Amino acid sequence: MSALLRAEGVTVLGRSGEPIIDRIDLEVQRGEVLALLGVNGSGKTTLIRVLAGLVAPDAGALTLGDGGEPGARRHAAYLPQLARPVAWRDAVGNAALPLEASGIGRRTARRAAREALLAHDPALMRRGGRRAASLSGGERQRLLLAGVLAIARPIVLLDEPLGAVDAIERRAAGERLRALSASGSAVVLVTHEPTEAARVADRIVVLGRRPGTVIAERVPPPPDRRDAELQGLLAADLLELLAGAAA
Amino acid sequence: MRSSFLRTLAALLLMLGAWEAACAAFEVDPSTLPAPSDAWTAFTGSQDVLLRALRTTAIEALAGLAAALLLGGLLGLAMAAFRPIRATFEPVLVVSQTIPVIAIAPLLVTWLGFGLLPKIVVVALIAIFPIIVAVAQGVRQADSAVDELLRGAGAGRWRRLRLVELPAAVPAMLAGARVSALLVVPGAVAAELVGATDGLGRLLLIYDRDGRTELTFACVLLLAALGLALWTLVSIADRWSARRGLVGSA
Repeated sequence: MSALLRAEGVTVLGRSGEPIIDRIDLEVQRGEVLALLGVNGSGKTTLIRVLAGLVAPDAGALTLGDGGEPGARRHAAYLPQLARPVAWRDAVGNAALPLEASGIGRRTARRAAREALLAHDPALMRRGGRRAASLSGGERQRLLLAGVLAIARPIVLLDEPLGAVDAIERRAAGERLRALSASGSAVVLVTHEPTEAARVADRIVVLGRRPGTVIAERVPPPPDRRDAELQGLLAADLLELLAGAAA
Repeated sequence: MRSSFLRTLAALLLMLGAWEAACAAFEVDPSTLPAPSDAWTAFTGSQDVLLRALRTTAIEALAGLAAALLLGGLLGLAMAAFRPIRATFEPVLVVSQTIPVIAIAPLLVTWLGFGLLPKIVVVALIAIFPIIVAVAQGVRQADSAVDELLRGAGAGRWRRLRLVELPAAVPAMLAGARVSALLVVPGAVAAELVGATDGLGRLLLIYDRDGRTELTFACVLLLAALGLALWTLVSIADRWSARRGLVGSA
């Protein structure tokens, strides 16, 4: 494994000057699903926005694995928390939005979005001509997730992408993320759900609250060798860590 | 929608009927308050003059509204998208709204003459403010998470404008235009009162001077009909955009 992205001593200050995240060291490795786990207000979103190159840290540095500057904003595909499809595009058009944003022409982007949906979320593709407003909350989330994943970039940053997604599709999305990492991408998954982290992540970094700091890291056996019992134990362990951080 | 339209129509007819009956019952002098039928007779008698004036006023109102939509849409978009533009123009706009447009109308006549142009400018000045405010607000309320998504994917300012903010501005602009549509006809008349060679505002002045109350009322009713027609036009466009799903984000 090699690092694709490295955060060193990253600190971001809030408006009052208090740190939101404080001196965080983090490496994102090629071929892993890294879960950033933390309670509400632990700075998960701030950290992932730093990783996406959208927030400049007040102290510390972000470097790409090859030593390049991440400032060009093109190193990662990023799905922000609570991003919702726009109403004036149909489902396929919304999945094409991230692709168009990355500079691909409208028609090519639409074709690529359709192919991505067909390959990875055929159930959603059957509703491809629908307006976003007629889709359920979970379907809307899956739509933008499909679009962001279709931007082929080595680093995929997802901020609570599955909050409204049902259990079946959640499992399918988890498998999709596993497949992505197996093909050499790095996936960073922000979540506040210990069970989700225990199911899909190769490595789990737990953030403590106010300011957000790394309080623990877990590298359990690989997910394909993690049976239900081990997953349960891991989730319980993570929940304990969160409870300690919240106290 | 159809039943509410019928109800409104019925209420209007009822009001006109009551007006007609009251004029007959109390034998009101037509030169003080003409009955609707007097206004109608006056209208049919001077139809050509009145309809030509209506056309002029309608052109002023429509052209002014169109100019306000175009310029207001652009300015609102620019103000929403670029903070320095907002910071510069917002105070200027607010101050400009404290100046009664009608107070500068004589100046516009001095600069631009008695023709259509000064009226269109007056109408546009009156109509532009609600449109700018609605567009600027509509665009700024566009989903900030989607904006982050586009930025994360590598979209610069212009691409974000094209992909999300511009489409989000259309329904906002129409919402603002609904307010403006009610302001443009009074605006056009006010501009004509200051100095005009044509239009219903000018006829109002003449009929009032000559004591032709029934014709004054015919003008007033025509103006009301014009205002209503414009408002309906914009409302239809507004509803169409809502049906197409052009309303913000889902």
